[in-house]
Amino acid sequence: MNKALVVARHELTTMLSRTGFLVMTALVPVGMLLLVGGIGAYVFFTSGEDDEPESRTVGYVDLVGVISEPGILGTTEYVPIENEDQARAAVASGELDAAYVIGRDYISTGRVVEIIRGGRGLNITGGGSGSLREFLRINLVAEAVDDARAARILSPVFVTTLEVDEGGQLDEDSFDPATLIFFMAMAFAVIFSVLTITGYLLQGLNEEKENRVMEILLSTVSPDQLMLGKLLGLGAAGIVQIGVWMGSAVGLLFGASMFVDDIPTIGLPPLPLILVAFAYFLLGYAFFAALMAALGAVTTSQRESQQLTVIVILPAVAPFWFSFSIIEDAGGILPQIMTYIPFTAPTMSLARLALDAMGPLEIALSLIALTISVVVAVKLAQRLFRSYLLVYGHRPPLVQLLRTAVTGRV
Amino acid sequence: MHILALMVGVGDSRFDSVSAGAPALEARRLRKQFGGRDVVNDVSLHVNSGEVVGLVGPNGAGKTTTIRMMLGILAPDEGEARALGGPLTEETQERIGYLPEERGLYEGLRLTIVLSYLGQLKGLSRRQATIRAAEMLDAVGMSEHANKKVRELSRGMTQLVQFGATLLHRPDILVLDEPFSGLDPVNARRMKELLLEEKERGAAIIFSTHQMTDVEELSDRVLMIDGGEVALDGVPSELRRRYRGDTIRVESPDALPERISGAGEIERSADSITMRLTEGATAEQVLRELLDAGMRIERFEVALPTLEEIFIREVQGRRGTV
Repeated sequence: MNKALVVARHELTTMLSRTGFLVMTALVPVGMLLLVGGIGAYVFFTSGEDDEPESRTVGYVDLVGVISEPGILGTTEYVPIENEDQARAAVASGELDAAYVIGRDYISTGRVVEIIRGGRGLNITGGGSGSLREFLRINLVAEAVDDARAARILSPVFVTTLEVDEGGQLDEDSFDPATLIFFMAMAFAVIFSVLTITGYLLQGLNEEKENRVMEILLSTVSPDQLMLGKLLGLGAAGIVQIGVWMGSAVGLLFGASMFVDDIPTIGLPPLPLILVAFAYFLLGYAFFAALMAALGAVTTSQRESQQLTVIVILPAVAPFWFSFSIIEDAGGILPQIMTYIPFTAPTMSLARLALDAMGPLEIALSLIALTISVVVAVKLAQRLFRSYLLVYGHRPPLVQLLRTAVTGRV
Repeated sequence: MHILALMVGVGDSRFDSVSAGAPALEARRLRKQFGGRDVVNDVSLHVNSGEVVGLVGPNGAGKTTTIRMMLGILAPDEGEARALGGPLTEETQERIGYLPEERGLYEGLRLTIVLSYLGQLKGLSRRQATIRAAEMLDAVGMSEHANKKVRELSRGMTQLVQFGATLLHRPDILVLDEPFSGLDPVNARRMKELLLEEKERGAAIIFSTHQMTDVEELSDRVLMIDGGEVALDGVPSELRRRYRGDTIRVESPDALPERISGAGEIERSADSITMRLTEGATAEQVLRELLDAGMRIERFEVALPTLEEIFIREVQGRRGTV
């Protein structure tokens, strides 16, 4: 056990000094920082225009009598003018920024004459806040119906979603943005981290075999101690990486929510759910790491092992192939089946947790299935590890490998 | 012992823990099969403390497999490997220094880190391992390269560093597989000196080699493995005496008679003739035959064969090629 810890510490410190690992670990927070910074900068500069909008004074000549509520709308003050001549004079003198003549045929045609000076349009004929359109709509509605109806005509809908369970009870926690973000981020982080770290495990084993360091190690450390040490050390590196990623994500969102009003305040999901996510990470890591260790033991070169890792990686990323159908129906048959297959269980379960499509029983069964898979994978890897670590030059035939995996004999 | 080693408590030998009279390293009737073929068959050998044993044998004889079983790297199908008077355990494995035949270190790591890691695996604390790493790099003349990465070193330099790693924890037993191959004469000499220092310290040393001159120079005992079996085991001088009597060296200005009944294989050099006696023939009989043929004999001696000659003769004899 002691030597496994020495191996673990060596693997951890070696990993933490690897340029590739450091770049990969830093890339995510830096990317998020740039993204959030970019969005923040955009919001800051564009909202800067809105924060201090240019106030303007606009005149109107109401020849129909539809305007009953003059006054300020947004940043625009609407001032009644007697006739078109006065309106022209006021615009010409700069007293008004613009003027509008609501002609006698307005009700039937909707036609309005705009008076501006020197081609300087005000751009208030669109549909935004304070626009002429909004000004006219408010006055038209006020004429026709009572205040309450007028308000509904102008703002017809505010949606509040209520979700009920099978018994008709309200499920108030049915959709929590924090949970969605946390688990989706965790699912991506797990798959990236697990594949990165186990890739390094495989690379390290290949290096030790190719450099013939393996023989020195095995003269002091048993294959089981060596495997355990590597799994512990690299697993710790994975936790560091996930911690940096998740910590920086939470920190950035927290920081962003303090400065930008439009970003909702992000909190963490409840502790039990965080522990479940962590369990999926650890079990997923142990499963894939055991498979990579077995691959590293039986292959004789980096090139060969890289070719064979496809067998492991392809099923691991399978949930991403079906992401659209999973989002559409996270409780469907396919997502449910993939929740119990060890290759897909970690990411699929985290994705389904994000979409709130897994109950406690399903979580427990999935974790139990994954745990059993880990035990079996570690056992098989141990047998191959013990038997083939010193095999150089040629890979044993598949039949022989299967026999060793099952019986432990070469 | 180096003063730093004393300070950090490295190098406490466990020779005392070896049972009285028990060898430091012992193989008892080791057997190993690969693919249904005996690679090592009933090999027994031992190395005592303060003794250097040269392990020789042709390629594929089973030397490396024997060594791996004695270190616990490979499990024997039959038999037992023992160290320091008991079965191989994690503790006794820590007291062994091993230099494998095919050498290498972590290419991307600095020398001090590599040595420190290997030292810690041999039971040293991190501090002890760091101190010993510096000492060993100094001992093998590599201290100026301490902060270089392994990939920056030449093959010979890497080999020296690896030899330093083998001695890092002051092992009681040294197992070296082809330790001098690939080294230039200067570095080979340096390693031999270090090896003899270890012997003086009391370490039990076994090394495999194809260089008989190394065996003659360093070994107290030579052990030959062929076909997975022990073919020879003895002190070099005794082996030479054991094999003397069948090789005659003659110096004469005259040519050899066409037929000498007691002589088998004959080798001629510029100044002498070496003859191997046939079975049952004696040196006296051959001398008489030469004199009777009128040959003037300036020098006639029963030669002591070199270990290489013994090795070749033994291997050829076992394969029936003589």
